[in-house]
Amino acid sequence: MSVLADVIKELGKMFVADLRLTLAVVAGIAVVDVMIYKQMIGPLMGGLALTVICLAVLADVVMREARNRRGGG
Amino acid sequence: MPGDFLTVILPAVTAAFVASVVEVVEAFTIVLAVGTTRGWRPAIAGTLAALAVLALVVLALGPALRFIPIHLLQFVVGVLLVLFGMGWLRKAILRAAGVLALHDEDAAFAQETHELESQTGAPATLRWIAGIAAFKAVLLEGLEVAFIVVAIGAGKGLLWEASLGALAACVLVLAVGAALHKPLARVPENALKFGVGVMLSAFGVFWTGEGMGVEWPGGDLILLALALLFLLAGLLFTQLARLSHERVTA
Repeated sequence: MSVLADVIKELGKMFVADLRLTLAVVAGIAVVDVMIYKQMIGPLMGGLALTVICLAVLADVVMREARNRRGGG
Repeated sequence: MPGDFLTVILPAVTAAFVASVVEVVEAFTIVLAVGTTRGWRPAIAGTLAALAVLALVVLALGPALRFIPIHLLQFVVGVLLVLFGMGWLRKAILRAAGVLALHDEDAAFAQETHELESQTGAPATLRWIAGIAAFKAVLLEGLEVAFIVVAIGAGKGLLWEASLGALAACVLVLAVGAALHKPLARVPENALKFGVGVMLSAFGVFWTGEGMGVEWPGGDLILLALALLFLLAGLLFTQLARLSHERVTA
C-alpha cells in the first residue's frame, strides 16, 4: 500500500510542483481558450497570448521564490 | 528523412532520452546502494519488476490514447506537458541560481546506504525490503519518463521513437554505472533538467495551442522558436533570480 501511496503522491507532484504555477497556468489557458472560442482574439493572437502567459507565470514563481527563500536549500 | 525530423521527431526523442538519463541516474544511485548493501539479487529483481510495470503502463496507455479525438488529446497532453515541463524548468532555474540546493548523488547514496544498514531482521526479510526499495526507486523515477514517452507518443504518434530514446538512455546509464560501480555524481543533472524543461514546455505550449485551434505560423517549425524562447527566458530568469536571492541573503 505504501508503494501505491507513493506512486499517487509522485503523480501529483509531477503536475503540481508549485501550486501557484499550476493554478496560474491552468487559469491562463482557460482564459485564452474562452477568448479564442468567443472570437475575441484570433487563433494567431491566441498562440502569442498562451506563450506570453506561460513565460510571465514562470518569471513570477521563480522571482517570488528567489525573494522569499533564504539560503540554498 | 521525414519532413518533421528536425522540428518534431529529433526534439521529441532527445527530450525522452535526456529525461530518462536524469531519472535513471537518480534511480541507479538507490539500486547501487541496495546492491552494495544487501546483494545484487534483490537490487536486480526490484529493478526488473519496476521496469516491467513501467513498460506495461506505456504499452497499455500509449495505444489506448489513439481512440481519443486528436484535438482533445493534444489539448489535454499539451496542458499536462506545460505543467510538467514548467515544473522542471522552475526547479532547474532555482537550482542554477543557487536558490535551491543541487541534487547530490553521493549524499543520496550515503543516506540510502545508511537507511538500509540501520534496518534489522532476518536476512531474507532484509533482502525483501531492499528489493522493494529498488523497485520503488525505479518505479517512482521511471513514472516521469513513462509520462514523457506516453505524452510525446500521444501528441505526435511517436510512441516507439520516444520509448527507444528512453530505453537507450536507460541502457547507457546502467552500463556506465555498472562499469564505474559508484554513483554517477558527475552527470550535469541540472543542466539536463533545464534542457528537458525547455523542450517539454515548448511542446506543451505548441500542443495546447493546437488543441485550442491556434494557427501557429510556420506549422511545426514554430516548435524550435518556442524552445529558443523558453531557453532564453530560462537563462534570463536564472540571472535575475540569482541577483534577487543574493540581495535577500546578503
